[in-house]
Amino acid sequence: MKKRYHLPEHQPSAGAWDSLLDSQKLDRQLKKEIPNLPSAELKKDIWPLIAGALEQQAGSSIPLRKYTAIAVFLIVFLGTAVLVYNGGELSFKGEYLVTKSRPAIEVEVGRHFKDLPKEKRFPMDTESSHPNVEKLQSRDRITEISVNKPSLGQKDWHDPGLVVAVQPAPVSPKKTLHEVDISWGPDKKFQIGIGFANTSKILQDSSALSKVRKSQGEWVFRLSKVDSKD
Amino acid sequence: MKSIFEKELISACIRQDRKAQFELFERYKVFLYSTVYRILDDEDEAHDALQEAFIAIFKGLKQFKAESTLGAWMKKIAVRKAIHIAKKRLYFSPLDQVDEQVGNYSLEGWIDGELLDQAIRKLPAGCRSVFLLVEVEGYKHAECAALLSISTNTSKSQLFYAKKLLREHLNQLLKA
Repeated sequence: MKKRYHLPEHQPSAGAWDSLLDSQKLDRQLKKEIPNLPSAELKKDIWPLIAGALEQQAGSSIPLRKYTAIAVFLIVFLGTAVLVYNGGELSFKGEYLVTKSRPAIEVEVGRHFKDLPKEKRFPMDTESSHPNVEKLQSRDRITEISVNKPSLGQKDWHDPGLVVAVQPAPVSPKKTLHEVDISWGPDKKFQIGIGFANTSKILQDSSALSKVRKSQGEWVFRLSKVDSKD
Repeated sequence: MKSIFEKELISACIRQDRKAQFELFERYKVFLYSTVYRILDDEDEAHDALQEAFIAIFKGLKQFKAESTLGAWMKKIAVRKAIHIAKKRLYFSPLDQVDEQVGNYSLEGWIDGELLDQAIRKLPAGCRSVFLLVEVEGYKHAECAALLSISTNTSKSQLFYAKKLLREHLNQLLKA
């Protein structure tokens, strides 16, 4: 090669060859070429699908917000209404709930129930009404006793047949469903009316009475005075 | 619309401005598609992953705290979507011994990006995903392991295995 210019020559560094070999190493080439990896081009237009999905999500979220707002408004409105109705007191009146929830029956009695002593009002609570209580409490005091087994000899078996003692069953007093109405008055003749009672009414009354007996609540008596038209 | 700054673009996207959302999509679609396509190596699945990724991005843009760049944040979402799709067929072959010095071995020539892309696509799905996450996307082994639900040691051994295969593929391509 003919030199056109007299420029000085430069020597590469001693490790140039080694450096060249080093650049051939896998890690060095990967580090250099990874940023040059080609970009992949989209083959489909997916924007309409993305926009559609976003529209769908936006559409579904609006009614939820609307219904939540309505629910919150109703809760606030009802809460305020309750406060105003109760005159600013939020607590419920237990007395109202208890008295109104108890069954009330009309019973005609000669004396006021509250005037009776407690033992007579609730006879089931007295000690005499629980005769088995003493027996139950004395369970722990039972001591073991030895009892000789009775020996039955052959001679005691006179009849191998089973002997059954028949006792008559206690007969309950007969209930009648007949009704007798007797009425009289100053301008009214003495009248006797005989009829057959309404069984459903009897059953209703008895069930209502049993409910009241079981409950330890208050009794409500409604005493009414009937004025004559004279 | 082109002159809009990224911060304003994010604000507009949060307000559900469709034009702004489309602008963001146009800016990042190739970058994100390339990432998911390399992981999945399937066009249809890559499109699905990109679609799901952009929906998740627009939904979660309110939570973007600018601790990283917007591109890195979006790429993380796209990678997760791609891995979720690819997880069914990700298999990590058990390795008894791996040559940890494989990266220091020389190739029989010099490669370019196109050649490297071809060699990467020949790798098995399991070790390819590890190679892409660690070497290409820059994740640490712990992060990669968490994303792929594998141990850190498996992530390391799969990377060496990927490099070994990559060297073989690249040498074959260089000879051809």
